[in-house]
Amino acid sequence: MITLVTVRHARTSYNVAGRLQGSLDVPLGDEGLAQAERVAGAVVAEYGADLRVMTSPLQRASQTGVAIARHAGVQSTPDERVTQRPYGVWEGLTSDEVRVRWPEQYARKKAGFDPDIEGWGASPVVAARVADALTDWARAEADRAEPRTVVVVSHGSAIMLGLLQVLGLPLTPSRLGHLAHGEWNELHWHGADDWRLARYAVREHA
Amino acid sequence: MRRVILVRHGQTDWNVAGRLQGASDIPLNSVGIAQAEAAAAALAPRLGDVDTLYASDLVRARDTAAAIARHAGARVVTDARLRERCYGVWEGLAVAERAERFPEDHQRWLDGGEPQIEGYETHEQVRDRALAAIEERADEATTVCVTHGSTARVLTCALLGLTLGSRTVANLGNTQWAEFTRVGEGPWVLASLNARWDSVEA
Repeated sequence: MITLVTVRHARTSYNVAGRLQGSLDVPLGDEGLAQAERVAGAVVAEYGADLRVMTSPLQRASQTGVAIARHAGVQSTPDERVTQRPYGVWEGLTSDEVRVRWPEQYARKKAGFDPDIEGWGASPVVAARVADALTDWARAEADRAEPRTVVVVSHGSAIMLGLLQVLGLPLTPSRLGHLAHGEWNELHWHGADDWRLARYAVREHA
Repeated sequence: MRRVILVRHGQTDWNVAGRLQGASDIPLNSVGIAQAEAAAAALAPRLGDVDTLYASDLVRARDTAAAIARHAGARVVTDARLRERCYGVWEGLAVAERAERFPEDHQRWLDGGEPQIEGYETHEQVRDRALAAIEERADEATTVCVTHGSTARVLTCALLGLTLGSRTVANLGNTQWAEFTRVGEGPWVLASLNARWDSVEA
């Protein structure tokens, strides 16, 4: 059995302001870096230091991953396949701004479906690439004499869609709830298509 | 938004020994009592205005619920429909004993099927009575049910639209919970599962 821990990156100033990032590469500020340290401590306390750390290439995720890797005494590795879903023409806007300018498409998104806007990363496409990455890393660990726990630092939508895909749940509307920054999920891979969700929305102990 | 929180009771000696309890009324052990207190302290602040908690009438669930109720300033109403699945002639047996004495049924169970043993309550039977206990309280914003591992898993499958008996979503640990939310007539969504930081070591 291989354990995979999917962690949502720490908060950026855009997250605090409610601005959609998508493919925008906003780095962590002081608050985010401090959160990343706390999450890193919690993940290593929970799962030990024998980790493989993979991250989305976007800074908010890679910086969070670097903190976890440093606490574990390992290196982290970027993987494009777990980057965030692009939000197209909505990137950089707040939810309120989106709601006012695209009322119908905003309603679609709120209902859990893909909006029809330019540049939006379609759910099946994002789900498939994240699932591919999770599967590849799980298989790589299974080939080792002593498999490590795989920590994946990624983004809310990407994590959710990847999980729905490997668990065989419908992509839209999602049956998995909102994951806050620094929260994580634990997946167990039992080989072939046998993926199980062990824990969902775990956070560092307050 | 409606919330349903399914909590599994604390540890018992039979949990530790891997003996199926089912309808057998085994009490919390000392670890289970400590777990119930820790879980109650963690869960109570998340319950808002809840004044009633529901619990299986089996003592391991009832006592776990009592701890949460004390912290939350709520009362407990017991409901036998929240009991663990009856395991009939398997109750009291650990895995090795079941494998030895009931090889075919044990294999069926391992393969994701259901054993055909006397007194066993099927997924559908468990789902029907446990879901009724939840649906009767549909007018409440937050419904907390202190229940058992197998019953909670059947309920989880029912709420998320998974095949009953699916192992895709893991069982709850002792005094862990699964929280589900629903907006209007929309689908039930899993908000958290086994998310409590369990600092009480066995």
